[in-house]
Amino acid sequence: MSTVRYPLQLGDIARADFRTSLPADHENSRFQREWGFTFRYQPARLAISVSLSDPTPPSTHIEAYGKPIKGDTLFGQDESDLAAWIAIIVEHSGADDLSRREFQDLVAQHWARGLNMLELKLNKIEDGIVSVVENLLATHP
Amino acid sequence: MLGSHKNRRRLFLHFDSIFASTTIEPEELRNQIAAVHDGLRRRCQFKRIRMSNWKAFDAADLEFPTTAPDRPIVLIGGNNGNGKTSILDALIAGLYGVGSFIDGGRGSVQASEVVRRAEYRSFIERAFHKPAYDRGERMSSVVVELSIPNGQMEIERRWYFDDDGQLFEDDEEVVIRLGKDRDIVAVPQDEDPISFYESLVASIVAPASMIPFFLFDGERVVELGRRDIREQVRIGIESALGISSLKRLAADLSDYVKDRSRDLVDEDVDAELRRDVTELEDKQAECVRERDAVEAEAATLKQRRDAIVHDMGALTNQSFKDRHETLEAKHNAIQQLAGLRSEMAATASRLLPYLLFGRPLMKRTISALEKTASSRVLDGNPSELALENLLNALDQIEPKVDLATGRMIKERVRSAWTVSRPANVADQARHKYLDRYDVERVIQGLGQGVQDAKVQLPEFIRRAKELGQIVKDSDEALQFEEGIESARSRYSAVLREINGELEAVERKQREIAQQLWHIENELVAKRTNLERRLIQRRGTAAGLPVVDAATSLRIEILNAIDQIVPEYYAALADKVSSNYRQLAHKTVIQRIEINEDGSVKIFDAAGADISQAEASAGENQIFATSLISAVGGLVGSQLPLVIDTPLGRLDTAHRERVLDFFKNGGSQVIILSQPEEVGGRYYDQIADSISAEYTLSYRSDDGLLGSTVLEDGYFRQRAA
Repeated sequence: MSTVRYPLQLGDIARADFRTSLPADHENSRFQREWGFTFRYQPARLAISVSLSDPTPPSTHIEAYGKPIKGDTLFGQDESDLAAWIAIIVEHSGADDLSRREFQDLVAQHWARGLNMLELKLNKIEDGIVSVVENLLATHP
Repeated sequence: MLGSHKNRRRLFLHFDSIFASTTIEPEELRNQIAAVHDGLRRRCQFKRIRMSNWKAFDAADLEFPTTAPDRPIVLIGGNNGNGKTSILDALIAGLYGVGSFIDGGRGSVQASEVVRRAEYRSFIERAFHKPAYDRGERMSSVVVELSIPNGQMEIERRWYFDDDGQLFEDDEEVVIRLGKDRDIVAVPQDEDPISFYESLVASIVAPASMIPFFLFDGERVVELGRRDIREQVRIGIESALGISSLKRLAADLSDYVKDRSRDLVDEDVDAELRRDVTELEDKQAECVRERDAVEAEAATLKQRRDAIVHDMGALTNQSFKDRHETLEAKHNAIQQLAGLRSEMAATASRLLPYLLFGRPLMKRTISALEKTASSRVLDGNPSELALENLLNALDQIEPKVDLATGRMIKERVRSAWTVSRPANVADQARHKYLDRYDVERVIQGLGQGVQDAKVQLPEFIRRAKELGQIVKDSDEALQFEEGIESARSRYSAVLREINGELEAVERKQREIAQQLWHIENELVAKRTNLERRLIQRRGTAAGLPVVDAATSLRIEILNAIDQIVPEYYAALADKVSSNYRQLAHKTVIQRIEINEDGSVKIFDAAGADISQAEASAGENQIFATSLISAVGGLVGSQLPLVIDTPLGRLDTAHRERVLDFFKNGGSQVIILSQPEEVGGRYYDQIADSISAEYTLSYRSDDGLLGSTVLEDGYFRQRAA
């Protein structure tokens, strides 16, 4: 077990791999397919952001992880985007001095919880991305 | 009308009208026949003959002076080939035309009428003056003028040839003019002009069958002399009396009776015809009914077809172009929508999170980041510089304090500056990763993200919905068009079906029309036949059919022949005996007898029958000449004689006697002679009986085929 704590660094986050639980990863693929997303990171972003709308901390137990997505892919090539995402996640956690590892775990859990939330919200959506966006806009004005 | 008829159907119809409308009394018939013979007994003479493009002649005009009884002879001399026979042929053809071949003994006597008609045409074709044909002329003509008891008669015949020199049946024209004013004799309606004129010539001059007895050449007399005497007598008598024409009429009547009684003998014929007509009328009516039904069916089908074609036209008016445009619009909309969705997915994944985070989190984060930013202002060099500037500014404030107070104030300010900083440490630690980063940009990014999301995403939705509507509208339009399309294909199927039915109906229509046409034709024929038979029945008195009238006429004719002919036998026998004694220098034959059956017996001076004895060619000619003359006498001894080469076979003694015979015969005699034949002493013998003399000379200007010209006088150098 590693005891080394790496403080959060933008560059590290950009290069780091992010995953969610294996079942959530499957769900991510399904959403990607059903809603017409080109890339895996696209439903992942929506899932993470939906989960962040819930002020409680996510607490999903993860046994196995799915396929990774690079940090700069998941949060954006633009550093300000990446920074904004990190700021939001960090602020949501309320924790000072998060390590990179803790950050990755947080993301994994938000991602998984967000997919569940999306599933609940959008399970009756049939018209792909347009309806998804419309629905999410309506519930998050 | 006596004489041959080339169209038997027409002849029979003519008979029909005669026998249906009048009854012929035997007495009247006898008078008619007698009238013909009265005509034959009158004197006639040739007055003139004009020939154009005829045989050896280009154009020739021969006048025969009206001969006094003491100068009956016209002498025309000519060497062989100079046109003597041309003149004889012109007289024969001019007078009788085709009759000369049918009844006049020219051509193949034994051949059928059809063959003899063809021989006649061929003869006329050959008679066309060759140089005239080469010049491009296509008409020949002969005009014969005669003086007859009631004045004069002119017979003009013209023959028209085609470019191959051929003459056809209708290419001959005949005109007969009578009297001083030369009035054209009109041909009665429905009469064939040729046959009518032939009959007229037969009644005024002599029938064509008399040709061998008054228009002949010596050679033909020899031929006649070679025949069986009995045959000669029969031919002579029958010719003189026109019996052959009467016999032909009897034969025609016999054919007519056979033809018409074939219909009438069978009494059922009329009934059968009526039955046929009724049956055909029934069939016709049925056919007409069927035709009307089929026509009605066709009309209904056509109406249906037209209605469908009209409806289909209306469909076509709005669909093809629209369908194409709709498909195009739908295709474009789908493609745009696909692009839009893809773009929207990317944009949504980038911007939507700013809204999804929720306002509380966003606010908190922005606030935290702002604090981080402000602490960094105090912390950095610029803030130390600001403190120094502040402290320096304290020194500038009036009224100035003392140095120690000033130092104390500066210390307190510096302490307060330091005390104010530790409150931000926690915030600084949470977002420490932003140490070397422009936090303001992040805050700005967050705000911009929210704003962009709020503007861009609804716009995407609006556009997507718009495109979705286009696709939906297109689908609806297409669905409508598909409906039209399926309607059209339904119409097409029905139209095909109707067209098939219509084709069958129209085929049936044609079949019925054809059937009707056949029935109507058959009906017309049957009705005509029936009507004709009814007319025949109506037209006969006491209901006797026309055949009875025709049969009785035929019997009367045959009876008349039987009665007339023997009456002339004794007279003919006497005349032949007398002529023969005049002509023959060896008067072996004393008496000739003709029995009622026409058989001839010749007795010598001793009263012995010498009919079977052999005779020389000359003797035969003498006998034939006697007969010819006697036959001529039967018709009144006034018929002119035209003789070509009359003395050819005769010895000197016979020549003298024959010439004397001509001199004293009382008839006009036209002699066509070679210089050797009637020359020297023979000429002298008849010189005082000659009324006109001509010589035929042949002229050719350039060695080509020339023509004969006529000069006055008869071989003057010899005759002188």
